Amino acid sequence: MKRTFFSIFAAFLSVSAFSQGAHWIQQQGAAVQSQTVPAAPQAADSGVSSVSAKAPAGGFFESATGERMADKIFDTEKDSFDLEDGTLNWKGKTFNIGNSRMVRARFERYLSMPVDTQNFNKYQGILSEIAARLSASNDNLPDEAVRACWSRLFDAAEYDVDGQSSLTIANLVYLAWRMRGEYDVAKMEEREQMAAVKEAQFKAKERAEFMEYASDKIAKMNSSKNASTRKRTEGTADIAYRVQDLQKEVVELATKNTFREATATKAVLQFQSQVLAFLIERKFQQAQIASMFYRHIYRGNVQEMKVGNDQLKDLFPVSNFVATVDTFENVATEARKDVRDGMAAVNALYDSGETYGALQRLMETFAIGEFDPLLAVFPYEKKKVLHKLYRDMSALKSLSDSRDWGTMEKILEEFEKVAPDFPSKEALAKIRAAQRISEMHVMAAKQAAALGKPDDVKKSLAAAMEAWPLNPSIADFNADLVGLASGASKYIQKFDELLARKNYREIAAEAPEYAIAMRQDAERSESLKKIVVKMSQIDSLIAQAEEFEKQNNKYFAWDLLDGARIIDPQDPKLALALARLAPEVSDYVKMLGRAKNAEDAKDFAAALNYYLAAQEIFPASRSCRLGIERVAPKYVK
Amino acid sequence: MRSKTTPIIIAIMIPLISVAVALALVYFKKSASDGVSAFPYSDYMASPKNLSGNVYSLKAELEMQLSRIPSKGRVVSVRDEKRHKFAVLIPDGLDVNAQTKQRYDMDVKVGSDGEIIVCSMRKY
Repeated sequence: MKRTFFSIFAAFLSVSAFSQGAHWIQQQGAAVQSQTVPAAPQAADSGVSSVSAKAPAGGFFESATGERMADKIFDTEKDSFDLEDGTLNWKGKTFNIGNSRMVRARFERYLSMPVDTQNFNKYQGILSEIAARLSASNDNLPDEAVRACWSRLFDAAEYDVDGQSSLTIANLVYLAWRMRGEYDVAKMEEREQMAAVKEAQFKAKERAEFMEYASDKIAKMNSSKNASTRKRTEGTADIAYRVQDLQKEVVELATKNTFREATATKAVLQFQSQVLAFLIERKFQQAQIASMFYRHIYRGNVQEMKVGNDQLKDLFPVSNFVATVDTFENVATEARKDVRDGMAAVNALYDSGETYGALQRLMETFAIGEFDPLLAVFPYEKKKVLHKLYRDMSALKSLSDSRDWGTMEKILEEFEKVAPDFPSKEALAKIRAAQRISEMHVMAAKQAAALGKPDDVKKSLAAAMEAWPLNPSIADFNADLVGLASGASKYIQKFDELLARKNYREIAAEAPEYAIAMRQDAERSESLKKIVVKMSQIDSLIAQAEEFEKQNNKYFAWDLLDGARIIDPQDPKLALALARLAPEVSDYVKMLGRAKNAEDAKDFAAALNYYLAAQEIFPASRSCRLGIERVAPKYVK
Repeated sequence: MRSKTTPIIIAIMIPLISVAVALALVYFKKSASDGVSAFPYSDYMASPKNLSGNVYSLKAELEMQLSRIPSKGRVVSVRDEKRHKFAVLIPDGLDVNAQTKQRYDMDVKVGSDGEIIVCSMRKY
C-alpha cells in the first residue's frame, strides 16, 4: 500500500514531463540551467475545505492533533517542482516525477476539452451545504440530518462537473448503513442466542439439583435395609444431554458474536479504504465529503485508521502519531487549498499576459488537482491559448532534438507576442549563434572549394551540419556542387567570358562553383584565386569604410574606398560605396580628383599643389600622402 | 640787424626736412617694387598653366621640403599669408640658406607646366 500511495503520487505528479518544451530551453539554450518553480502562494481558505479547519480544538482530540501536525509538517514554502531533476516536493516529501506519457496525454486532453460550466456555482453550493451540515462542529447530528445530506449527494451527482463521484460517496454511505443494519440484526440474534444459553443453563442446573436430591433420598432409605450401598445411575444421560445442549448454544453464541464483529470490521474497512482511494486518486473533494460522512456514521474508537496507516505516517513522521479519518480530511483540505491557490495564480498570470507562467502554474496545479472542479471549470478560451503554447513548447523540444533552429526561431519569435514572459531571448541568442557558426562553416567550405581543397570542403560541411543540420545554405551548396559536376564546361566558358569583361565581382560570387569546375585547370584556378583575393580585399576595405562612416570619419572612409580603387577600379560594389559617400566629402573628392587628373595628364606641378590642397582638407589622407610622394620628385620636368 | 629767431627756425626745419626726405625715399622705393603683384593663389589653383611666365611677389613661410630634384633644386611646401599651402621650387642656383618655419619675401615665377619657381627670396 505504501508503494502504491507514492507511486500514484509520482504518477500524477509526472506532469513535469509536460514542461519538456521549456525544459529544452534549460538544456539547449543553456540559459536556464536549473529552474525550480516556486510554490504557489497560499490564499485564504474558504468554502467546503474550511470546514475541518474550524473543528473545535478541545472537543475532538484527533482533529486538533491532525491540524497541529499538518501546520507543523506541511511547510508549503518548501514545495517545489524541479523540472531539471524530475522531482516534486510537496509537503516536505520528495516524489520522483519521471516522464509519463500517459499523464502528458491527460493534460493535453484536459486542455483540449471544452468546458461545461453548467451551473457550477449551484453544484459547489450543494457540496458546501453538505460540508457545512456535516462539519465537525455538528458532532451529534441526528441520523435524519445525515440522511438529508446523503440525499443531496444525488443532487450533486446530476452535474457533469461532478463526474458521478458524489454517487460513489452516496453508495458508500448506503453500504455502511446497510452493513450497520446487518450488524443490528446480528446483535438481535446474539441476544436471542444468549437467552437460549441461559435457559439451557437453567434446565441443566435444575436437573442436576433434582438428581442430587433424589440420590440423597434413596441413599438414606437403603442404609437402614441394606448395609451394602449402590450408586444410582438414572438421570445421568439426561444431564449429559442437557450439558451438550448448553455447549451447543454457547458455541452458536460465540459464532454469531464473531460474525457480527466481522461485519462491523468489514464495513469500517470498506469505508476507510474508499476514502483512502479517493485521496490516492487525488479526488480530494470526494475524500473530504466521504470523511465527514464517516465521522458521523462511525464514532469513537472506529475513528482510528485501520488502512493507509503506513502511507499517512510517511506524511506525518511522528513516532506516536495516531492516524484517524480526520487525517485524511486534513490532507485533502491542504491539497485542495493548494489547488485553489494554484488556479488563482494561473488566472492572475494569464490575465496579466504572462501566459507562459500561467501554463507552468496550471501544469503544477493539474498535477495535484486533476479532478478538482476548479480545474474543470477553467475557461476554455484560456485553455485553448495555453494548449497552443503547450504544443509549441512540446514542438520546441522535438525541434531542439533535431536542431531545427530555423523553425524554432519562428516559434520563439511568435512566443514574444503570445508569451512575452517566456525566456525566448536567450534561446534565440543561442539559436542564432548556432546558425552563424553553421553559416561560417558553409562559408569555409565554399572558400575551401574555391581553393580546390575537397577534404576541407567535407570537413567544413560536416561541421556546418553538426551545428545546424537543416541549414538551407548547406542544401544550396550541395545543389550547386551537384550541378557543377554535370556542367563544368559551362562554368569554364562563363568564367572566360566574365574574365574578359573584367567582371570580377560576378566571378567571386560563384567562386566555389568555378573552383570545382576548374579544379583540373591550374591556370584558370590561379586567376580565380587572385580574383577571390582581390574581391575579399575590396570587401574588407568597404567593410572598414562603413565602420569609419558610422564613426563619422567620412574622410577616412573615403580614403579606404579610394585605396580599394587601386585593387579594382571597376568593381561595381566599390563604385556604389564611393557614389554613396561622395556627396559627404565632395570638397575633398573634388580636389583629389583634380590632383589625379593632373597627375594622369602629367601636369605634376599642378597635381602636387592639388594634392597639397586636398591634404589641407584631410591631413591624414593616405591618398594625398602617396600622391605627394609620387609627384613631388617630378615637380619640374 | 640779424633776427634772433632765425637760428631757432633753422633748428626746427632741419629735422622736418630730414623726415620728409626719408618718407620720400620710402615712398619711391615702394613704388618701384609695386611693379610685381602678389601671387594669386585662387587663380593659380583654377588654372595653373594660365599663369605661365608671370612673376609675382610672395610672402610665405617655409613648411617642409617635399623633394629634392637633382640639378634642379628643392621642392618645398610653403604657406602664404592667407594660410594657403602649395609647393615652390627653390633652384639650386639661388644662393640662399632656406630654413623651415621661417618667413620669406620671395619673387616667384610660374613656369610653363605651372611650377612655381623662386627667383629671389629674403627673410622678413
